[in-house]
Amino acid sequence: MIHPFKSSKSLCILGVFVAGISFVTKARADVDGNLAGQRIYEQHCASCHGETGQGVAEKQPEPLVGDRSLLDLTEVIIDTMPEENPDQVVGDDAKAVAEYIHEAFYSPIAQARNKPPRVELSRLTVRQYQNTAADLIGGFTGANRWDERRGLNAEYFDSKNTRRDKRVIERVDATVDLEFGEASPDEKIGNEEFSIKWQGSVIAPDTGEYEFVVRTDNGARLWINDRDTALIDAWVRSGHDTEFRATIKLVGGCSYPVRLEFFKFKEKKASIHLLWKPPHREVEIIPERNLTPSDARDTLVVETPFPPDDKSVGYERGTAVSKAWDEATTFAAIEVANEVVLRLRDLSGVRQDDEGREAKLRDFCGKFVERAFRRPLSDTDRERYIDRQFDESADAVTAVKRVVLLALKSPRFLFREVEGTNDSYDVAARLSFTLWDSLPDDPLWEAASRGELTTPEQVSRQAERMMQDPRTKAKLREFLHQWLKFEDFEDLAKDQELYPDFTPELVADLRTSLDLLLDEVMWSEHADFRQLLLSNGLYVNSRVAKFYGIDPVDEAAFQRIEANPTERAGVLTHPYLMTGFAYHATSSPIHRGVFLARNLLGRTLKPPKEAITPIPADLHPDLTTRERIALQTGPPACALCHEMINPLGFSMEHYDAVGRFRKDENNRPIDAAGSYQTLSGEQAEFNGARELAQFLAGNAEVHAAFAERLFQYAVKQPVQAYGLNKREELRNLFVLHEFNINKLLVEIAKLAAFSPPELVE
Amino acid sequence: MPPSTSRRKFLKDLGLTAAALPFMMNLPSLGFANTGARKKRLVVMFSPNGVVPWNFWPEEEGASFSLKESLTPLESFKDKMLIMHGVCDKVRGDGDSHMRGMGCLLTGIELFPGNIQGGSHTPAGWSTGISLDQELKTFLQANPETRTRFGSLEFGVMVPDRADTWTRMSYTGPNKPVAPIDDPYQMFNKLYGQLKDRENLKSVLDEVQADLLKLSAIVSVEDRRLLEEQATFVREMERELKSASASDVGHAVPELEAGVKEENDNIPRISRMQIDLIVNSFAADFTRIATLQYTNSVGQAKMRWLGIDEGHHELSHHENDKAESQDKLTRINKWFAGELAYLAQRLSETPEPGGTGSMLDNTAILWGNELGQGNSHTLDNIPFVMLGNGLDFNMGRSLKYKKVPHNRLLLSIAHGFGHEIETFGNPDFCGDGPLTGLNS
Repeated sequence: MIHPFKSSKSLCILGVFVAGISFVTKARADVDGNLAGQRIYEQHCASCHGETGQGVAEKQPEPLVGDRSLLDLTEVIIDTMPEENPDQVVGDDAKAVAEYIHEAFYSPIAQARNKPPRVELSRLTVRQYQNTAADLIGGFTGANRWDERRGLNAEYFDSKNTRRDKRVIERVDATVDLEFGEASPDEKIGNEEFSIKWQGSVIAPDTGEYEFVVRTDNGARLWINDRDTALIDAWVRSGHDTEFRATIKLVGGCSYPVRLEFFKFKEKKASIHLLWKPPHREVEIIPERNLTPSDARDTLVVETPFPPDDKSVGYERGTAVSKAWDEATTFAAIEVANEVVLRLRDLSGVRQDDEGREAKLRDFCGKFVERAFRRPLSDTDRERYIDRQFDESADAVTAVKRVVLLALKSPRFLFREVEGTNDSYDVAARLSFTLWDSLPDDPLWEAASRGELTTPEQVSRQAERMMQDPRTKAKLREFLHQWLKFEDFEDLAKDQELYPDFTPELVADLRTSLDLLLDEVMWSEHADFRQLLLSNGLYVNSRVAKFYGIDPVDEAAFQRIEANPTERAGVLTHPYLMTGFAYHATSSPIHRGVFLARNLLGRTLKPPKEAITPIPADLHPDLTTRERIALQTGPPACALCHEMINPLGFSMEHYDAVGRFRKDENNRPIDAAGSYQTLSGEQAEFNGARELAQFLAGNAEVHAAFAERLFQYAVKQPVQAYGLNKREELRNLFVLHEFNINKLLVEIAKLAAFSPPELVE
Repeated sequence: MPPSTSRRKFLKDLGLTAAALPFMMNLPSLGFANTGARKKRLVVMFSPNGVVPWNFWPEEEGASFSLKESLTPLESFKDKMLIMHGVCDKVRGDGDSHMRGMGCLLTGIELFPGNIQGGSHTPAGWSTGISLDQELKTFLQANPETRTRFGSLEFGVMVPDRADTWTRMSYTGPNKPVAPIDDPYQMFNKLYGQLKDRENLKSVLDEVQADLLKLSAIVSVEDRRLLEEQATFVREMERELKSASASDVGHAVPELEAGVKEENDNIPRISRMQIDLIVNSFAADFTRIATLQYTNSVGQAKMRWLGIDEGHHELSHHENDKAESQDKLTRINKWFAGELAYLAQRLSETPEPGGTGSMLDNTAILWGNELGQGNSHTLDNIPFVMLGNGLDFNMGRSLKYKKVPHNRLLLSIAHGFGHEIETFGNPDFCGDGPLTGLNS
């Protein structure tokens, strides 16, 4: 039998507990009151498990901690404890002792209370390393910024050479997608020979490998993120080759210089098309929205592969090192050192024949190491990191290489705020890593050096300035992708008999469509979280419109339409998500319900101990999906979690396996009635996705969960480490700012900026 | 190091791709072990714009001949040379003579139609076939006995920074030109960069350890564990580097003169640096095939160090009766012959590692040109000179052929390597097989 479960999508959940820290106060009161449970524990359990569950060597050394629910824990005690006589503690006694254990030290909340999470020393995550290396080099050349303009600067020449005196047209072209046939581009240009030059930059939406494609009947050259060497050199047309491809790694959210030159000479036909295949997408003409006439500098993209970061807690963090990671940092250091030496003149401004070249290069190296360490160097540091390297090297270039290698292998570069000085430079670094996953820029550095990062107001001002930077936008976008579980949606494929038009190109379009909606909400003035759930906006191109039965859209470009509010509600019902949280041929209320429980409501669901294969639809052809799921998850062991999961997922039953809106299934009307019991005990009822979205948008637990998730993604530490009340505080601020996500991020940056790592006394 | 070098190109040259990175750390030697069997090597040297025939070709045929002015620097290698008059590039089709002369020199086959317009004829593209050097590379790399780290190395001297039919003579296949590396520092990095990186890394790891130790003392007990783990990994890397260095390259890494810029007047220095690197690559058995391309077809070197201010190509158009120009062209070709002599000298002074005789005894150098003569643009009588005993030809002669296609010479070289193909390039020009009279 085909096993349709990915590990991340397992459905049978054995334990449920609440992650909300707001329970702490209540639990503590209960503990104090539960003297009966405590007495039973001391009498029957403590000899093996220790007075506070810490364990007893040679008996039960493992600490008595876990995340079983109270109910579950009670059953375990009834059935198995104490080991020598399991009948000794049963009934009310078992219930009382379970309550005591659970609340005193067993549950995650009790653990957090007894041993509060702390800000752990962390190395740079992979994303942080990538950005930091790029900005370390970019700091010497200036950062890339772009304005609202889109498309590329184009110059048309009435000659096969791009000679200025032959230039007849200057304009901005939205895309490069030109089929001239035997004609010329313009009446001012002859058709025997002409040439065109496009320049500007290309904005990469995601991080990964980009394949660029030039299609031409003539000659062309393409430069991407390297002004010296063409990525594609098809200047010589030869034989029948008309398509040229090359791949380059780019980091998402940045712009990269692009130049395309084209010429026609005596050939019968002329054509030129510039395409790409970005990560998670299909080959397409590079769209106007990803091109800008703004200028850009070459950016360092570290090619060394790193092992992925630990994401087991829901966000990448750098609290562990490994041999593979250490090796990657070595190779990356060599890569960057070679890059610095290659571009030394450009980066240092020191010419080969400059007088006092070595002294100037020492200064350059000093600046480099300061940037890398995110703080000024002391005289001793300067002697060790700079002067000694120069003194011991045969020539200045070797010395520069050694300085870079040493700096990038140093824990001062690789680890965050490791010196624990907790001064303004540490504040600056925390701010920039929270907002950019990178090192401070010049204005932030200067603020630190003037001691202007000591009050919340000063930090706020910097954070607000930094919010405008493309790196913040890139980080927020990646956060939303993680929140919405984009990584689970690779290689989406559906039953080709049922959905013959569901193609990889359509999947790529759906991802773009959802990205456009996210951008719209995030970069609107209010950046209102609730709008993510409630917006009627839907972005469609002709392929998407056709597949989803939307009125014809003429162009290939995406345009915004107002969807029927009863059929769509914000990002949750977006066809990309609905398709992702579904099986090959049927919807999956369980995947949808688990997603809602975990990612919207902030509930923690443990994966099942064994995966369950869903009942195939054709085994019960007359049942609806809803009925089939209810049948399979009926047993009590399943119901424990599925009582919560299913009614959430059922409310989205109007969306089939490809996210189309449907009114019936197997000729029976869809039942989209759903419900959820909040942590505060109130029972919410909703019918269909619009009502569900309204419930979620107005629910305080959803707001708190979102704020916590954003905090942890941005800071890469648990929010409780900054104070057990901080989760609630952030939620209140979120409300105060009318759910503005950007303002929430500024609050998060402020909160994290001042918290020092623990120091040795 | 020149700032113009591209990073991507650089990484590629270094083999610094994702898969190759770990390679660097546990490389016992940057070369490959010698295999005992006799090594055979090939260098193809190219210079452009034809020669002055009456100052190049010996009058005599056979073992007793005297060198004309252009070839006088090679006097001491006379008994190791073959001067082959009458070998012609018969390939026709698209492209002007300079383009075909270059693109067909080592491929022996037509160019694709294309969009590159020369001074005459029809526009053309790249060659439609593989070049001999790459054919032999593939042949040698297929056999573990003859496989080397790089297989082939393509050297250049002041090759213009553009890819077109005039700047490429080496092809890995149809439409697949190979760019020569004309920056000795870039070539040095390709050959020895990993070794240098390793040395630099070794020199800084002690400081890194000291750093970790110092910081471990100031962080909390819980956080100390992380830094201590990191210190363990750094120590492991130090150990690995030490054990790797014990058996490094097995020869002295050459020292390049620092700061030589890539510009016309440095051609003599760059040439010598590249030749030294060729000799080193052979000694280390990094490769057995090398090409050395001076400028390009239609090359415009201004040999001011010879007192010649005009560009080479411009001069080559001057008529036969312009004595001053013909004298300058003769001196230009004499200079190239001098570089060939330096290469031969270096090889003859270097004992064959793990073998007998000198490296020149196991190397064949083929010197060629895209034209026979510049002002007529003829592809007849391409000035082919062979030097060295690598292919066991009967050296020390002036040969006169009767307008034979140069494909047959290419075939002879292939056969000399034991690669007994029946045709190479356009089969129409291979009818009579390898050239006769080379071995007898």
